[in-house]
Amino acid sequence: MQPQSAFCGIGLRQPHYQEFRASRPALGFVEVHSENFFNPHDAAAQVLAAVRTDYPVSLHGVGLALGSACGLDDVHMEQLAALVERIDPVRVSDHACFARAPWSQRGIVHANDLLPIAFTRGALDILCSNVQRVQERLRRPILVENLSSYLEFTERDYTEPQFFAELGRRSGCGLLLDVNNLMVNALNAAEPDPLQAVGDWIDELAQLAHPGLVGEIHLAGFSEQHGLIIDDHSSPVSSPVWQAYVHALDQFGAVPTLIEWDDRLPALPVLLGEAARAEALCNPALRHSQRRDDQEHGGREQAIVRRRAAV
Amino acid sequence: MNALFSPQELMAQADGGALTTLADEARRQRELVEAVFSPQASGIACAGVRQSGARWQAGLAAYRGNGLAHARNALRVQFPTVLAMLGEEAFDALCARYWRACPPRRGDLAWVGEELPEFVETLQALDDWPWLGDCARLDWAVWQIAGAAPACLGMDDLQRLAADDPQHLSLKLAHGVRRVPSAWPIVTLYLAHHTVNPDWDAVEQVIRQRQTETAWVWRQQADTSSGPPLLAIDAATDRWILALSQGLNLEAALDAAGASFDFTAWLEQAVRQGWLDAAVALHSP
Repeated sequence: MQPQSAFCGIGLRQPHYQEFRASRPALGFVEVHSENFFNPHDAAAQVLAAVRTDYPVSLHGVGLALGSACGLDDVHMEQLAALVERIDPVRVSDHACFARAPWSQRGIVHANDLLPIAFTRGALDILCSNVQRVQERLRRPILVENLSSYLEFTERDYTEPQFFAELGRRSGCGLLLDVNNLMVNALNAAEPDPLQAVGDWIDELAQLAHPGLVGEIHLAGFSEQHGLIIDDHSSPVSSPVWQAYVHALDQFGAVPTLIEWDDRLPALPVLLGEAARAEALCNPALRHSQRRDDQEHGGREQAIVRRRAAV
Repeated sequence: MNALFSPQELMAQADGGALTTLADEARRQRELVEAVFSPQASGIACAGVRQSGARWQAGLAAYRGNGLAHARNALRVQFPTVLAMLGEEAFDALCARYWRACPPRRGDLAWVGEELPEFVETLQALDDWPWLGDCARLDWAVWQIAGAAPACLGMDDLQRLAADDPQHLSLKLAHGVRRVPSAWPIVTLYLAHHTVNPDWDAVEQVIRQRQTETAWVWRQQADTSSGPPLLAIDAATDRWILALSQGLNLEAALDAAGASFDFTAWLEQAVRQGWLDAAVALHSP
């Protein structure tokens, strides 16, 4: 059975494999973390191959470290290329981060996380070069995701939207626009009006970007830990992020959208419900009424936004 | 690794120009990575970061927490026996020390545990558990072969085995097998920690007797009802497997194994469990 035509998908995680395959819900695509499927011989690879017969698959990586000044790990890139060859994904993406750097006598190490890059000419040169290498090897354009960052560098030559617009122009890659990351950054920066700040970010990108730059949108939940807002993908999409998503759809049109949920995974129907809500918002008429509802019924996260804005 | 820029280029201190800009990026990235893996709670100074004081420490803690959590989750899967032996709290503390002392070299977490067995043996706090390093080696072997290519022994291999001269034939072991030698009873320990209600008195006795065990591990077939994919092998079987690993012909391998080795029983199990990839003709008779 093929899924019904749809824009939205969910991240497919191991606890849901069996139920997902049995129920075959109507979704536009499923997304998986590329690194979890590098090994063609393990059981997960067989599951993905079976899922691929029913759904377009988007491969989302967390380990390429595209912004690393010391370059890419060729072994990692070859494993990704082999996976792309096997799965023929609808999209391939990773992050605008670095993680690899020389460390002591150990040589190049990998931080297992998405460390922030500076929005400078030098960082853009590095990112463009690495993205181009990946695209040449995969023989397809990739999407690069904006980060939620908990530290930022003082020096900058570009605003973040300028940086991504320029990256797309120079390398030919697209942007995986993570709306939740924009909200996390606005909250951690103690923006007076975080939702407005996210809206301004989106508007600036829309002004600068070539049509079609935004190839996918991510939506997720965040939490507050030790005074920081953390992009932990462990809760429903927050009310302000839904509002920002509506604004992004107004600017960029309907874009394939993923519900990301990695930690404290809910029952599959909860994820599917979030995807259905995103799907409905891709319809402009439904978007209008949803916008009104969101403004009237802000949830827990809306309270966090207001409280942090007040601080 | 195909570096964008050579270390000389990155470290060049030319005035102005792109090279200095790239060297600046490399420096700021190196400093942040050093701060992430620094043993100091507050991290070492990292120039050029906007945040300072408590906000800097919170941001750094977020990155450390994420990286360590990813590694710890992977290590828990990769070292179930070590986790069972130490308990969750001690195992998590071990993970934290390991992650800082041996930062990962690859972005694929499937490899994050590759140096844990050696690291365990460097920790004085674990001196009372001298078998722990070998137990970790066994866990790592089980983890690695779980993702190995399945064995591909075919009917033509079996026909060759039945018909060809043993002097001109060798057996190629499958990718999904490992031999793990130890001066400790690592198979007994492994099975005890993967069994409901094990006989701990018997385990203690085996340890006190300093019984040595060489583990033979193989990729689990689809049918998992036959128990964990490992067993302790006797000295004759160990010599046989070493001979096969060295590519000796069948006759020489059997000579190495000695008279007590039961080839027929071993072959029957090897075919059933997927230990062999091929019977290889060494040259035309």
